[in-house]
Amino acid sequence: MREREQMSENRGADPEWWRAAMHHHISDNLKSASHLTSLMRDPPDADVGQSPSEVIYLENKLRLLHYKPMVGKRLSPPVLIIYALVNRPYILDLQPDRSVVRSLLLSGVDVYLIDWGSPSDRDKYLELDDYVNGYIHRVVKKVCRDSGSDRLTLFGYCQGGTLASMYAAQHPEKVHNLILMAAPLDFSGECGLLGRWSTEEYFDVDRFIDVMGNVPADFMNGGYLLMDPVGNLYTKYVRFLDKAGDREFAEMFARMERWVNDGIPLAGETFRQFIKWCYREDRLMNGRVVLGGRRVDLTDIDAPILSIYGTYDHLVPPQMSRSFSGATSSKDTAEMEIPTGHIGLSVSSKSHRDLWPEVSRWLWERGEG
Amino acid sequence: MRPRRPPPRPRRPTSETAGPLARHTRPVRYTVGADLIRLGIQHQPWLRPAARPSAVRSGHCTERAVTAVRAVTAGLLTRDTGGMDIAARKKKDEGPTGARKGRKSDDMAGQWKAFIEHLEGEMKSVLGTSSAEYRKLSENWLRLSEAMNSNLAGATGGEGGEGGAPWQAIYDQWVEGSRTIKKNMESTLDSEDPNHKKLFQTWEDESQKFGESLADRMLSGMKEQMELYELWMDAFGRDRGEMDHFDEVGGIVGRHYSDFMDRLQRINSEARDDRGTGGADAPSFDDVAASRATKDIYEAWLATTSSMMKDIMATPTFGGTLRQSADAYLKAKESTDRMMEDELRRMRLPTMSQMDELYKGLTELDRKVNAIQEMLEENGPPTPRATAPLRAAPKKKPGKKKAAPKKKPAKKRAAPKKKPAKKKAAPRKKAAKKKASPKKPSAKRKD
Repeated sequence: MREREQMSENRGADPEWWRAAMHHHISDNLKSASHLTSLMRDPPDADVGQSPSEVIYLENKLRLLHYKPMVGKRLSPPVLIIYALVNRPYILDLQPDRSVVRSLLLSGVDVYLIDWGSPSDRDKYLELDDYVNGYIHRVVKKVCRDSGSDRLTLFGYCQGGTLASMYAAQHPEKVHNLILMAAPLDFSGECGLLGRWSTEEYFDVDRFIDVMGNVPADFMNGGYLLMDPVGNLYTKYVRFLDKAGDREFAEMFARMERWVNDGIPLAGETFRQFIKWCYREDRLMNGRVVLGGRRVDLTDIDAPILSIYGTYDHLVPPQMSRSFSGATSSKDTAEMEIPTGHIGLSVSSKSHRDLWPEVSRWLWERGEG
Repeated sequence: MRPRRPPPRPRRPTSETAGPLARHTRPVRYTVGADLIRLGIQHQPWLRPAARPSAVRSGHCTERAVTAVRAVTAGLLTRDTGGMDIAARKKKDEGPTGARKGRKSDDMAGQWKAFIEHLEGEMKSVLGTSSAEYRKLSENWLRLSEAMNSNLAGATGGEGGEGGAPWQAIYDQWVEGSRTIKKNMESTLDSEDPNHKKLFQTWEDESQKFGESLADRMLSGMKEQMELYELWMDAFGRDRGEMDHFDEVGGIVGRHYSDFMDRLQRINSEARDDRGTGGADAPSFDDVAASRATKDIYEAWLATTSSMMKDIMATPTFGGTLRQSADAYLKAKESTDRMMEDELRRMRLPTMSQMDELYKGLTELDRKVNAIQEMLEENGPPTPRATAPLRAAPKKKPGKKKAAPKKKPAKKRAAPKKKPAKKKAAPRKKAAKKKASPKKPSAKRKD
């Protein structure tokens, strides 16, 4: 610091110095450009969802995947992963070294996953009840039959967590454990930018659904991009250019890009209910959601609950998940927080090092042997 | 003829010497846009509707706006030779007495005197007048004090004012002097001694206060610029109710711009450090260090812009813009859909609304089928007893004519009747077993 004080201000204006800096940068950029050219000649591998699986049930656009076990020992009951109704679920099996599915399989967990498929106009009248008491309920029964187990572990990610919690409240007899990852459940406090944009003042959901039918994938994707426009539309690509010489990085980038741009529409009526009941009226935590003529009462949930959330999750801030287990009757609740974002929970190296082995351990401690 | 010396470029103190002072020392001659934003932030109350002049509120300001545009344009054109002649205007407005300026100047001189006396008293009580530390520190104090006294006493105007040292120069002098004093204090005082620590803290607090007062005095010379800024706002549609939005977004932009300038200053200082630590034999530049500095600037810009945009996205202004965009899009789509509907009807093709009705019906049908299926699953397959009346019904049909040969065909019919029943039952059981088996590999499509 003292040396700094001794420096004359005029010395900072040395043109030679800035010329050197520019020279350095230009040569760096030329290197990046050559890496980019080689990537264009030999594009990076962007295969996703590589864990072997089979489709054991089909209904409308839904596919139920059962992953083939990777180790001899197998945990019972099985785990059923319920992903959000937006985006594709292969983010949970993005690439072998960043795969939640693979991590669970390697620890002996029997994994099933719902791929909702892409709803068409035909599905615009599907409601939350159709998903919770319809699709999910039939899938749960199918998994139970397939695995020979009476109950299972429900694992809901993002909006899938909201659906899973509703299901667990209406069908507690089917749920052995409940895992909720980055799940929007408590809408009473800060709900992030999505919460702000969903208010009546800024969004006329009724008119939107009446005109559009389903929610287009681009609309949802646009919303996510706008939450950090510079980061998502500029910085990301600058970083890519910086590291374009790293083949492994380029492949991971290509896979993430594929996933980000592979959104699916969301059934209009479901979206309408989700915005009104959850974001605007916070009905779930207050026991005011009614599905199939029955109230969703969270105190009916008595299964062990594991809440997972990312400290820097801007889509679903941690406070939207934290208070959930307190609203249930469960006496066995746990929380795991990782310093990462919404997607980082499933793809970051930190999560795969620190989080997923712990989740497997939690499951084994509560397994039926 | 000697070339005219350009006006001194305002220098900003480093954050470690000035802290909050940095807020008051934004460079004033970079660009008009930057100036406007900065001024907008520093004087938020000026932008609030209630604080605006009545002429502006009532909307009679077009003429003033045009004047402002002309003035600022003229200022831009003459910027290199002194910019807008604000000092001259100020003099004209306030008359020849300069009473206000004199009072301000006296205030600053008084503050400076009180500051010096307080610090000197503290130094005496903590260090003692005979100590080497006191003598060393007093030397700096004396030098700065003399220079400041002389300049403050002579100061009569705002920035570039006539008849005294410009406030910008006084401010620069203060920053340089305080920097040296701080450096000496750090090297002289014992950081373990609580009294020394207290003395240092007193210096930090007092110097900040004084620096802020000085900066305020310096900025007060820019009131005309503020007025111009107000007029610019008139030109940008304040009366169309957009001013609040500008307040909101402009505030965010200005805050982040200030942060960026701080970062830039820090990076600049560090870059100079990198160049300076190599010693006399070191090369005149180090391209790696230079590259790092420019990269740091770029990163700082990215981080600032990113965080600024995130903040803007969270504003009610942006929320309102989203709503407007969505409404405009929906309006257009509604209109297109109506046209499409008419065309399809004319062509006797199924329209979208008809298809929607169909989808609605199909979804209802799906729900009913699913409910029936679930009921069947819960209650098990239909029992033979339940089906018997349906199958027995044809038996009652035969009339009198067929009464005679009734027995024979009845036997014949009875025999094959059981077989289909068994055949029907068999596949049901098989199917049930298959469903229960966990090894079944093939997918089952339900719809």
